Amino acid sequence: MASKGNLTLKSCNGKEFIVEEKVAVMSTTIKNMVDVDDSFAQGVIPIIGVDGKILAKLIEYCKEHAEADEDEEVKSEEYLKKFDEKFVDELNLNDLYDLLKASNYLEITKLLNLLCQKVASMIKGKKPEEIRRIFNIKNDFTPEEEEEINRQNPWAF
Amino acid sequence: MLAKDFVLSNKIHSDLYVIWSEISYLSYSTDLHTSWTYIYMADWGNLPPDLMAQIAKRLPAHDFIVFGAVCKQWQSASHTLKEKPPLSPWLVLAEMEKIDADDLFFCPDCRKWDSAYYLRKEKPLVPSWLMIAEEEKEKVEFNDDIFFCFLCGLWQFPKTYSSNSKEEKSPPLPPWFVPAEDDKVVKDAAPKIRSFFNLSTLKTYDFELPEASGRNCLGASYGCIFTLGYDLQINLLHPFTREQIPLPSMLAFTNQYNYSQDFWPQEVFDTFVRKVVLSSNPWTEKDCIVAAIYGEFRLLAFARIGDTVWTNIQVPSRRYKDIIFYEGKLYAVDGRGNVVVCNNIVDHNGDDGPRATAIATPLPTGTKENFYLVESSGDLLLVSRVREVIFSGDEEDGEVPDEYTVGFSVLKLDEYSSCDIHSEDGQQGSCSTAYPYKWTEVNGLGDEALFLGRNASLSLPASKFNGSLKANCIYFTDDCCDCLLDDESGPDMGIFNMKNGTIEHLYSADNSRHPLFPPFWLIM
Repeated sequence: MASKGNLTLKSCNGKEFIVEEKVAVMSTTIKNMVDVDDSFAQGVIPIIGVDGKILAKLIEYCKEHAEADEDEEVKSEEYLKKFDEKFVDELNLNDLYDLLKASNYLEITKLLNLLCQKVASMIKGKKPEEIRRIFNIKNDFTPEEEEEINRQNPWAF
Repeated sequence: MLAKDFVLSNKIHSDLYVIWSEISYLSYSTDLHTSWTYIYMADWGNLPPDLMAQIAKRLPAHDFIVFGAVCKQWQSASHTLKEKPPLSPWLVLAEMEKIDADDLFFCPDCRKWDSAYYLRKEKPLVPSWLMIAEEEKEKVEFNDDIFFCFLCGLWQFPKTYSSNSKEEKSPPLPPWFVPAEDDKVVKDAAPKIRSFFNLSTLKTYDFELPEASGRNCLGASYGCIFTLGYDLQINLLHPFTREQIPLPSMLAFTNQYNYSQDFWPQEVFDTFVRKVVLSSNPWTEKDCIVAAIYGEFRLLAFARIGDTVWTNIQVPSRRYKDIIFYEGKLYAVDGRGNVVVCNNIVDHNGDDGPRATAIATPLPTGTKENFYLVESSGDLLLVSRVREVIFSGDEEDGEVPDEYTVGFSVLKLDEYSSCDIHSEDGQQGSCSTAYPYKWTEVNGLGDEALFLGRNASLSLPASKFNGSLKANCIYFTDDCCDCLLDDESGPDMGIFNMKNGTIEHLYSADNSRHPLFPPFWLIM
């Protein structure tokens, strides 16, 4: 049982994390759960579909930002920017993917924006085949369809 | 590499996991003799559509198109995204001046192809048999198909013209024509390519655009290029679909030079029209109006699509520099910074055509900069461009004055408030209240970037272009065709930063310069 002001989050593979409420409610989804049903605030909040590794990452991110929101002097904008950069740079492709979906589901807008920007920056300036290689995506266009795409925007490729 | 990242074992049986995540399980065997192991691989191809949209909308237009070409899922995500990133501006580069088939015209006298550029620079030999009075045209025998193309367009024109009620006011039409290019004859013609420089990728792309070849590009508006060629026909050209809409010809403007046997209208086709702008998108809006600054005195005229003549707009001054449609009205600025507005361009009363009147307090006299009118964040801005003369050239030819832009200042059209009227009244002799508006200085453009030059002046929100544009900057190209006819214009272009007043170089290559038709902005 979490002490007052703390919430317990439980990952889909059974790992429990005790976090401060201000950290947990960075997620709009969790905030709504706590607001609507008081029992969540007392008991364990199951985070469906997010495993322990990803949940730990999410909490790491939310903790930094929640603290920064509370006291701007201790964690400046510049510090957060550096933290964000390091945070996304250390992610491998699978973690990036899982975090992207988890932050979308949990509605952690700041993190979602950060991750989407990261993926966008990985796409920028590349050709379709390079992007497929990076993200391990199969080219499911027929040669005819590819030709049609090239014909529509010849300058883009 | 990916396969090593994460090995799933029992998770596949977890219902929760399946509900949450559309993860692909690749069956993968590390050893043929052992049991199958599941390798977890993130399936980026099947990212939920809302997430794909989140990513796609952060891409510049060029990368957005590439995004849609990765796989079918991504393609459908890019198709369904409501707010697609806007296409970043293009710099349409000058056509390389070369004496080749592109620049040739046919001389009926000597039966040879000759250089159009040569024709302009030197006194043209007037092919005598082309000087046909209108009533004699039926007697002329055309024994060559070459001439058909140029005749069919222009030849019909006087007929339509004379049926118009404005006949008596119209100047007499010169009866000469110059052949248009014909691919059948110019067999070894090089492909008619025009280069476009993209501000997002900073690369140059070649487009096949024979419709613009050898023609004066009068600038662009709503993603359309206006072209005026030796046939004196003005066309509206979509650079990518290559569809064209014919506009009234250059000779259908009211005020013309006094053409004679020694002075052809073709000799002024490169300078006759200063600027053309559209009131709306011509491909989608039926009531699209085209307005132009034209002629020796730089007067104003307009036409609806489908018109055969340009209708003059009555103006209180001459030498207009820029025109723009703002809140459905046509605004124009003259060389002294006086701004006029025409409220009822289409449904005007009387034979004189619509009338434009001064709208705001005149600027202090003596200003002779180049002015632009542009709508930015809902405001009407008056931008003045300051050029300085710099002498260059060698001693033999004498020094050639060359003008370069050194800065811009921006004013905003503001309504007079009651307190303004009160304070202005206190000043001796000043009667600013005669105008409903005044100009107030603007120090910054916020997120906006202005695009000025031969194009219809435009302001774009930089943040929407995902990093391709710089906010609070003015992107400018050379448009000083009035004063630098014999000099190579084109290099006077760059990015002016409103914050610190610096000018950043924009583009330089051979095709950034052209004696007649310098580069201009094309914004789709």
